[in-house]
Amino acid sequence: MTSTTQRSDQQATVGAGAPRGRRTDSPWGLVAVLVALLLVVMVAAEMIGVRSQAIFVEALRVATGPSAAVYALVAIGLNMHFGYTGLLNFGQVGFMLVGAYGIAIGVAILGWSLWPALLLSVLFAVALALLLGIPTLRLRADYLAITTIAAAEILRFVFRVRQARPVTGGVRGLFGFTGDFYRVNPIPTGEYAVALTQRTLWVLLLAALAAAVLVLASRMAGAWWARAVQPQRAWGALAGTLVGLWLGAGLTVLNPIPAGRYRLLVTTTHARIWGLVVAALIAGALAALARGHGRRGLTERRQSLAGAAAVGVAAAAVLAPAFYAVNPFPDDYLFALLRFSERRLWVVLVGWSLVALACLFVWALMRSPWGRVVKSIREDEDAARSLGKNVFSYKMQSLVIGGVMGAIGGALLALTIQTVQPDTFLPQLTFFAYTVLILGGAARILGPVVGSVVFWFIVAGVDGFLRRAAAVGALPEQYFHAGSIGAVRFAFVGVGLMLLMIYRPQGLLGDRREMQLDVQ
Amino acid sequence: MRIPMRVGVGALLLLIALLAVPAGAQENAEGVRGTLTNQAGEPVEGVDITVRDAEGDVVDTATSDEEGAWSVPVPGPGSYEATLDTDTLPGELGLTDPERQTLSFTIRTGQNRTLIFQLGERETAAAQMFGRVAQSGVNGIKFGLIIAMTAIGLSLIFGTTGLINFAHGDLVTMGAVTAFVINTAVPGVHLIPATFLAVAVCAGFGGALEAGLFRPLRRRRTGLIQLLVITVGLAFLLRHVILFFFGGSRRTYLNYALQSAVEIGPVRLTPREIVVMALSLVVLIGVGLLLTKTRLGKAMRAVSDNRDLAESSGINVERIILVVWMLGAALAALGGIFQGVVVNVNYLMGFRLLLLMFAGVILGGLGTAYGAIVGSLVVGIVTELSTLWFPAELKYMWALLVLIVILLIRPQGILGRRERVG
Repeated sequence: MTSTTQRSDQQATVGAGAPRGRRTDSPWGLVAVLVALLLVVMVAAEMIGVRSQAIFVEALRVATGPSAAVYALVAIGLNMHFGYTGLLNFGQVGFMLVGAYGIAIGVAILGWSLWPALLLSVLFAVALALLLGIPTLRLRADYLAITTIAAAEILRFVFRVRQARPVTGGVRGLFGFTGDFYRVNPIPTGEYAVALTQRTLWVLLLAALAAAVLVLASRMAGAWWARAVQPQRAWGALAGTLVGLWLGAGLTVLNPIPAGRYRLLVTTTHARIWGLVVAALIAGALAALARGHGRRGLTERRQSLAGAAAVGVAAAAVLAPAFYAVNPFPDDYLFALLRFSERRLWVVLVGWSLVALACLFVWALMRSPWGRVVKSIREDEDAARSLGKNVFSYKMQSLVIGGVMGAIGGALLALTIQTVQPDTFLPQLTFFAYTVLILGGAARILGPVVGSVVFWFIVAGVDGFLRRAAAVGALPEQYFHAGSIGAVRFAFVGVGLMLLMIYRPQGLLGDRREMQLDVQ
Repeated sequence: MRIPMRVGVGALLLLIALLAVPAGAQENAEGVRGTLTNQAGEPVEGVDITVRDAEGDVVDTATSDEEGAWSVPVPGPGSYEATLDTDTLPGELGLTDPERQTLSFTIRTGQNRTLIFQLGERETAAAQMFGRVAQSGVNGIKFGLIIAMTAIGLSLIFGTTGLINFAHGDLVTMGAVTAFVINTAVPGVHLIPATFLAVAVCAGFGGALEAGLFRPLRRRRTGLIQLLVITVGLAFLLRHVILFFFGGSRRTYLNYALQSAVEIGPVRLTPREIVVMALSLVVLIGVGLLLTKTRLGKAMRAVSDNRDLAESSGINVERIILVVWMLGAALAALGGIFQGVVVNVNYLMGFRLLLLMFAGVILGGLGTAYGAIVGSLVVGIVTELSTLWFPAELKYMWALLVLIVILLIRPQGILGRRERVG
């Protein structure tokens, strides 16, 4: 049959020693589409008299905010299910539900503190995974999809019913369980901002230019100028230069030199001297690595990178003042990209730390023998079984791990919106998570993270544009009001999901060979 | 001279008022009262009503007099409950709703409140239960027939292409909404021609989907899971485009909206429900005949069974798949219109039905049309019967539980062939 032969062809390529991690098809087409979309929105905004900068900042705020972290976590869980194990779990929102309710019930109903309540979330998730997995893991992918979506809806009905009100709060849900979380916030009260000063902008602009040149040089490896640039080393040099510029401007952290101006060869401040000292130390360490001292077994490529970086650090540190002197942007140029209150900063930090931990965990797991078995189950279950692996057990473990991550995402959601209601956890949240995962690239560690950030950036950007356009009357009033703009967002996601699956199912970071999408 | 009529009447009224005042003064204190009548309006005498206060202590008991009237004064404002002693009811009378034997109420300062106990023919508990089961059963069959009609398309599409179409629910909604738009457009068209038009439009849309979206993808050898996720995206798109233009509220068609129910034995049905059930049955029988008696039906069954073999025996598989999609979309649209007539039209109606469709189709056997019918009827009946013992909010849950249980013990469904689904 056709499908079996296709798969064995795929396996032949995988086993043939193709370099691991190298993408066989480039994502730049998709990137170009996304950038084009961004430009279209911003230009359209300017044309109708809406400030595109406001839309951009708002989109950035959402894309780096707690929602993006929540969906990144949920998508990492889904990545474990669908990306690595090939389980088509359409009920991930059920795990979010039990995770959110776990923490809410723990604090609000049982009166526990935050950590035991979080443990309750995890326990709920494990229980749900076991309950769900034992009967259904032996089913084919499309049957599993239907079963999991049914199970998630059943959960929602049960949590919603009037009889459950003493435990779950019924339709109205639970609230008032986040006090502890915000009380342990160590960040002092105040406004925080991530802003782009004229210096940062100058550095970023030139770095982007240099990066573009290097990318081009890598692609056109045969051309004479590409060889001169030596892209292999140039990346190291660029990284080193950026570090050197930053250090050379002056470092105030842990500076032991007493404040004041000193006269060495030229008059400089104590901060700059300290910066030069640190830069010299770093350059020296890198040079030592390049020479082969220190950690044994550094590959030649890395040695050459280190050497180039050493040169970059040293040169940039010394030349920093000259570099900044030719900065064309005016001194008072300040572009505040993101603003946080201390509460929001706390949630954002906690959220993205959890995401980082989850990524680390998945990375370690998938590098291990366990991960390899799981991937082999995705590719050909029967082959794994014939080698003596208990396929069911591995699938169950994967379901549990992915489910726990989804539950932690749900708990974070509960802490962010400070209320849990069953009708928040509708099936469409699962499909949002799928869009995030597929956009970023399934079966890639950073896929869900990149996907979540890009997804929310686009959605918030389009949302913001439509709202502002409606507010200035550029769109017909009878169609574009508050309720219907939400509908546009969902319709947009639907179109996006369709186009992604048709034209680029591996998303931004994915590898086509790793996509197990045939079911027979 | 004669006293003018007006003055005379006024004096009479004043006299009555004066006479009534002492009695009224007594009734201005807090209390509860009522009048018991049977269904013919005749007063019922000799029935005991006991009033208890918030702690459960008896305040007083009153017995209805020959006018059926009873009253119990209460010591002050507060919460009370009144219980009708059914043993004191005359033989042939009983409470029309046995649950409402005790009524709770609150009395404000100076309030004299009236309570109503509905009396009617006393039914035996068994007769009552039978009535409720019969009503739920008939509701279930009605619901099941509508699900069956929409589910046939789903099952046939799976059978011929192997694709589980998550957008099928939104094809249902599309049918209902299209009929609504045609029905309410100016100049309004009656629902019946609107139905024909809407079904034709949706059949065309289904065909366009197959020809424009799924056939090119199949030709590209796109994997089934990929196609499944594409249908999910399509469902999203359709549902929210409909939401955008139709709005989130529930609407009804212009015709057949208000009707009074007809009693057929223990069951109450509105005429439109009867017509919808009859029409659904006719359509289902028609589809069954199409599948068994016509060449087209035979070809559809052949493609469902074994696509390559059907192709090798000369059947134009691509054309059959197109017909299946058009038929499926038409049936879905018709089901949506029927659901809109019987209940109402809203943008989520199809998605709600989708899970029930899955339950029905998998229960009956994925890929067979008869399976879809049988399974959907069972799902409809289970859903409605569950309301007799469990909260109505959970009624869809039972269908989904049936789905999961069936997948555990007999994954090929009631009528399906035994093949590996894992």
